[in-house]
Amino acid sequence: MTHSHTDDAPPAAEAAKRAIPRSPSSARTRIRAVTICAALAAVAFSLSYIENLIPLPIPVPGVKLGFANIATLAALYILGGRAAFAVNILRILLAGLMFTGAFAMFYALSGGILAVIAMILLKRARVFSVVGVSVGGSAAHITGQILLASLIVKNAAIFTSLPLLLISSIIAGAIVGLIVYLLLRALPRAIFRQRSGPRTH
Amino acid sequence: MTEINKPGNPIRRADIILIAALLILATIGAALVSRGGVYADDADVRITVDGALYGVYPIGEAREIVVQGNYENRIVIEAGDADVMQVRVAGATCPGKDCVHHAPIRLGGQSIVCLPNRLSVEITGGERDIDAFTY
Repeated sequence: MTHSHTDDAPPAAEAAKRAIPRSPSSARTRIRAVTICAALAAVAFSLSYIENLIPLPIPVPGVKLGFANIATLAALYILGGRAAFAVNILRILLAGLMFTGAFAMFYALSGGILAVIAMILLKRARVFSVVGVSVGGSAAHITGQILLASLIVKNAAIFTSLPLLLISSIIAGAIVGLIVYLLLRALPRAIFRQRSGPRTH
Repeated sequence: MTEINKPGNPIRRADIILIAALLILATIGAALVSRGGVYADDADVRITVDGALYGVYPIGEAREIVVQGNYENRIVIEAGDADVMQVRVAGATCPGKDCVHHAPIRLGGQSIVCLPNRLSVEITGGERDIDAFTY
């Protein structure tokens, strides 16, 4: 796509374009997007790590605050759906290699992918704030995890724990959503003008 | 349309509708589940591995069951006084040990699963049977 508009241009004009890059050039925009995406993936991984260090005083595994979703949501709102997807997948892969292990990694991957898809769709609906998007993503995450867990053990008994997990996911999702709301409000306006490629919304 | 990138209001009407809908769904689910959530002396502990029934044990008898699979799970039924009757996974060789960290179960419908070992421990039977809910 970077070549399409330069193909028909006369050589002189092309050379001039190369010499004085227009600001912001698409390459620069893309580098910025990649940089922000990588930084957010690092933030997501760090949040995952911190959350892994501090176990919640709740005797049911699976109840988490999901603070890593702060970075995923930030990527969704700053760069778009594909970046959010990349940030979350990178985080889960890194966490899997570093501390959660292969099995937990694949398990987390299913919930993570489902959550990002849900958040992209909810954001695209344009009627939800970041809080609603976050709550929906977190509810989709836990529902997907329970569904996969019941498929793995081939027994539906675990679904009895879904209602309480759903309520905890709504609370955690709302907290994360509010944090991201404050974050987006505090970020400089310029950061939102650096999207590259076609808009996903 | 740059507005979509701005945070806007922290909570919109659609958010409240979404949260309310999810809460109603969870409440209905909890109500359905709690029909089985009673303590019963004659309840059974049902263990399945990879979907196949491994064994059914009465909750009233103290017992230790070691399930071998890809990993090993040590399930303990603690009997005696009704207050201390509970089922827990006391040990596991799987890496995550989520099943060991899970709170002990004692009411109908409650379950503990070990995903790496494809194991499920659930309490069934008692006054209100929840078998209709399981496969």
